[in-house]
Amino acid sequence: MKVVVAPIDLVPIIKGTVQELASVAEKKNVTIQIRNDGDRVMAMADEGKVKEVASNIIGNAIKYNRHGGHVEISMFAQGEQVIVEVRDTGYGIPKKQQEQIFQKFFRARVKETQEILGTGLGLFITRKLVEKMGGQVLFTSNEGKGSTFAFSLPKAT
Amino acid sequence: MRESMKKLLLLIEDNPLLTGMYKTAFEKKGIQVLFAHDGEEGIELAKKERPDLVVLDLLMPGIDGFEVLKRLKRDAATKNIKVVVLTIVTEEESQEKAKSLGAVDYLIKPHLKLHEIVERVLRHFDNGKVAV
Repeated sequence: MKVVVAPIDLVPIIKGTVQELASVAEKKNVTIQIRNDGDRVMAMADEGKVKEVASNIIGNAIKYNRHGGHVEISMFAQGEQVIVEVRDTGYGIPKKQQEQIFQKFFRARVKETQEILGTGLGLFITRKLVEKMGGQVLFTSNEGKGSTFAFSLPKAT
Repeated sequence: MRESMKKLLLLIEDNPLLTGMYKTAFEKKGIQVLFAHDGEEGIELAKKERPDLVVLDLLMPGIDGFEVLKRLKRDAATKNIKVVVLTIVTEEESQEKAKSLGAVDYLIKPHLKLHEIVERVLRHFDNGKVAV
């Protein structure tokens, strides 16, 4: 897994990812809002890998959302990092399963989303990619209310 | 549980990367930090632990920060606890709403460096009696 980092602006990457996922969101009637005050959000990262990461996290926020749900994406610099947070109004991940969510082949068992197809590899790979670029991916989830996934990358100076 | 003599800050913030970052920064200033990852958990902790100050995010799953602020200010047990909003929401009307609901300050995450956030929050502890 080779990673080539360079200064990149996350704003067009995230916007592009959202556009690519627009048809998936439309099918579920999920609305997506991007919050960014117009400033560039410069990270030291591999553009292709960031696209993979964003596609997985935003894709999950749509796929595992309720019909008619909402996804909110914020990106900004804080401290020495840039942070992308993706908040959904889905069913949340049961507390007992939260520790396993980044494990290879693990898929959360939630009654309302059990029909959705997946390999259980997405978050496993996502975490590896983010860590390889010097960042972190973490989440909080509230059963019945939704989840917030956030990933960080080193800020480009 | 409150450690004796230390000022207690409750951070209500759903982004775990930020709770970690802020917690470390405040602890370096001698502040004890508790955190909650959603609004309802935050309100419960505020009632139980009676922190000296609450730092509140606005965008969270479930009830949002405005609703948390309303409920904290409505409850006799928590209405005197100062609340500083710390958010990515930049809109003027949001700032006015937070102030009208009783927030003592409104800080915009990407507009401030981490040490500036810490300094602004520390100013709101009663009598400024914080070892810095």
